[in-house]
Amino acid sequence: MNEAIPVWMQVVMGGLALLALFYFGPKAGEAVKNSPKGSAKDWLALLLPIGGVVLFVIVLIALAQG
Amino acid sequence: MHEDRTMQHRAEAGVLQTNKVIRNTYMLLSLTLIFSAMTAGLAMAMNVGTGAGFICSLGAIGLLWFVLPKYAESTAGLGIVFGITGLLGFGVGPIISAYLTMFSNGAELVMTALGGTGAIFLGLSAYALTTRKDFSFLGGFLFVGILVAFLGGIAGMLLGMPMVNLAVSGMFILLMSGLILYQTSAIIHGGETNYIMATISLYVALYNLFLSLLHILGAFAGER
Repeated sequence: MNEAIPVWMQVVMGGLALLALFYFGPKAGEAVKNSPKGSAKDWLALLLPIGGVVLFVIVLIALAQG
Repeated sequence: MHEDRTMQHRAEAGVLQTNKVIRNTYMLLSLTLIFSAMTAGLAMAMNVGTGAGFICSLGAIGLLWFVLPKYAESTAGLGIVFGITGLLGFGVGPIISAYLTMFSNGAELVMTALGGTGAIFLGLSAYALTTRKDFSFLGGFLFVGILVAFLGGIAGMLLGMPMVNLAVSGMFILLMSGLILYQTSAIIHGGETNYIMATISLYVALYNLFLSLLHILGAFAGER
């Protein structure tokens, strides 16, 4: 366990993780089943903006490093 | 002829409705961001500890998960949105304070993360609005991805694994970028007609983008 985080916070975080898993786990399965399926073309169209974000973050890190 | 006019009238009504949702969403988003900045500033001025910030964030999660969905269709939803964003802003205050004291270039890191978040949001929103591409296929993927990243982030913190947390921050940047595209596309194509839900979705994306970017910048460019 992480000693830098107080025990009460660790307990609450664990509880939150379990809550999220049991509350949203089944909903996530339904969302995957019910959401429209993207074609290969759709996923390729996503690469441009996401690739742009990745490049931008790399530039930001380089700028912050000076 | 009569059918043509009816169809044209319906199309115009649809466009007007979409424009109204976009306008209301961006207006409410601006107000909530200003409100969050104010509560974050208040938390920093009060020198609030991480424990209090954590409790505020928990309160915001409770409102977001269990209360807002019940009131999103009513005007009470507006108050709840300000409650959530105010609490999240207050919770971020101690984190920003920690970066400012932990790193000699902390102020630069915070400003870079803030500017970077704004630029990513503007760029992705402009992309979704101008290309009018339909990103509804991302729905299921984002739901599962965000759940996995959330659980991974908690596991990384509990087990004290900084590399896992760094990977989760990277994942969150990609997932939140996808969420901005998905939500903006949903507004344009009529998949989201509730501006309160659209606002909170975009706000959560911005909030996570900022924190993840700050974490990554701190790890790679933080000077102690």
